[in-house]
Amino acid sequence: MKKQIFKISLLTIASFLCFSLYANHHEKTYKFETIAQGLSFPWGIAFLSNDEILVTEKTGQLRIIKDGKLLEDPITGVPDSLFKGQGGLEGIVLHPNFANNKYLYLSFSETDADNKKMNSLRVVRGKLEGNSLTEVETIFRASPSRKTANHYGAKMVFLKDGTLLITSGDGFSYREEAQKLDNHFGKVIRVNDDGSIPSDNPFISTPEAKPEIWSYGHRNLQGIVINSDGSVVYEHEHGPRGGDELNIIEKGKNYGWPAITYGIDYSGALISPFKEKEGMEQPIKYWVPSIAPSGMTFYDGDLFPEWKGNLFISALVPGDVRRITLEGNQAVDEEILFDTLGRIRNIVSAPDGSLVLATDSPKGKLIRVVPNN
Amino acid sequence: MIKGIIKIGFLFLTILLVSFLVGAQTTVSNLIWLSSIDMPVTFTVLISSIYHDFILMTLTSAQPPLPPLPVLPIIISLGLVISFGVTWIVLRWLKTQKKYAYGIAGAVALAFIFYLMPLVFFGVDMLAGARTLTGKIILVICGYLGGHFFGSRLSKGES
Repeated sequence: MKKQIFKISLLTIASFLCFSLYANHHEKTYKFETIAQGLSFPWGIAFLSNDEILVTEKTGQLRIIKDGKLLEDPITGVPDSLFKGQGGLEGIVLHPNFANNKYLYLSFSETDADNKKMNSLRVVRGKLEGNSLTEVETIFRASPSRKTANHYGAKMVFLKDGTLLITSGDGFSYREEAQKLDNHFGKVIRVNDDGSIPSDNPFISTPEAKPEIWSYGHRNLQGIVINSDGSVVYEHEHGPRGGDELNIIEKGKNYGWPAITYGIDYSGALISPFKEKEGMEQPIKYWVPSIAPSGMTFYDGDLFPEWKGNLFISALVPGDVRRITLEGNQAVDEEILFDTLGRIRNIVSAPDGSLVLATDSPKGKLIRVVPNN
Repeated sequence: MIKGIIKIGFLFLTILLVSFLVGAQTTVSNLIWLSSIDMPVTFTVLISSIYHDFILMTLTSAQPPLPPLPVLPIIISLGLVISFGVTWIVLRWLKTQKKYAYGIAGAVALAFIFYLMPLVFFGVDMLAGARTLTGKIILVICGYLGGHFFGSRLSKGES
């Protein structure tokens, strides 16, 4: 009897030791450094250099953080945006040749000039000169306009051929439009850097189709990135109640929303009883219940060698980051990280190999994740 | 006392009936669209979808961003109780058949519910079936049918 008690005690102590060693190891892998705070719903992040960061605030300002200090004056010349519901000043991306041409691209929701009840997603480019954005020109405007201030998408990424992918959400109340090609609801859009339409877009010769469409059948796409050699495009989108998806985007493909989905409506109703159909793509990963994926980066840095080649997806619910291990075109593993910071709006890789997170709050923070040693 | 309990029972049944009809309208409108894009909507799919939606929309608590309550029947209850209450007062002066009076009350309740819903829930129609004018008209008819059922049960109970 005494021997048994001794064995059980020994086993318990060993288990505790193992657990604390495991927890310790994970705690010591990285640490957080606050870069800036007091940002008004920070959304998009772009690096001019490792210590000079552009951040869009959903409330409409483009801010600069320089050498760890949030500059008081926002950049001038940024067009007015509609800050309402899920809309505002959102995506930002630098031209691949930014060092020479100074072009940056902004996506935002905007009230229609001729009908104040309607709004749409608009993408502009402008030249960053000092503290001003000049020569601002529209390169894309989603059509038709919508009444709702939800589901804009509004993320952007440049492909290695120099064209720009833009995510355009389904507008919440227009979900069926995602299956039609005569509109921009629920689409990935592809344009040249000046907004013209590439001649090899898949539906350029399809009657009544919008020629900017690259893929369709999407919901609210808030993450789009390419891998290190630019050969694969990863995209994630919010599902409704469950059914968030991670997809590999390919030219001309239909990703199924809302004809097939792993989620149901917020009301509890089925959106579709179908989860798959021939001719409609399956996600490489989906989440039920939802995690509300809000941003994504493909990690190719050197500060965390063990994370190289992984996807990092920020999540608003319950508020964490998902590290996705990829093998070929499969998502084979998922680890939950950084779950003490609340709702995370975005995650990007910095030039020095650190990860930078934006928290979703009227007093949002930019936080850098660096190795702990 | 017993009459009062029976009336409450009728009201409960009416709320359940209207919730079912409203849910089924959303189910059927979704399935009609799916069928229009060549998804394999069969009779079995129709029945199982209506059953699924009745259980999840009427008998189950909602999830965020909605409050953790069976939201649809609660909203319908509020609308019908107010509307039927006003009708009960009006009927003390106005002589008309109860089934028509309560039918109109049910229709008005549903019209208000689906008019007000976007103002409360993020500026959007949370119920997919209420996104079009045709959908809203059908939902108002569901309200009428519920009220008609309630009024006719009351009339029978009194005769």
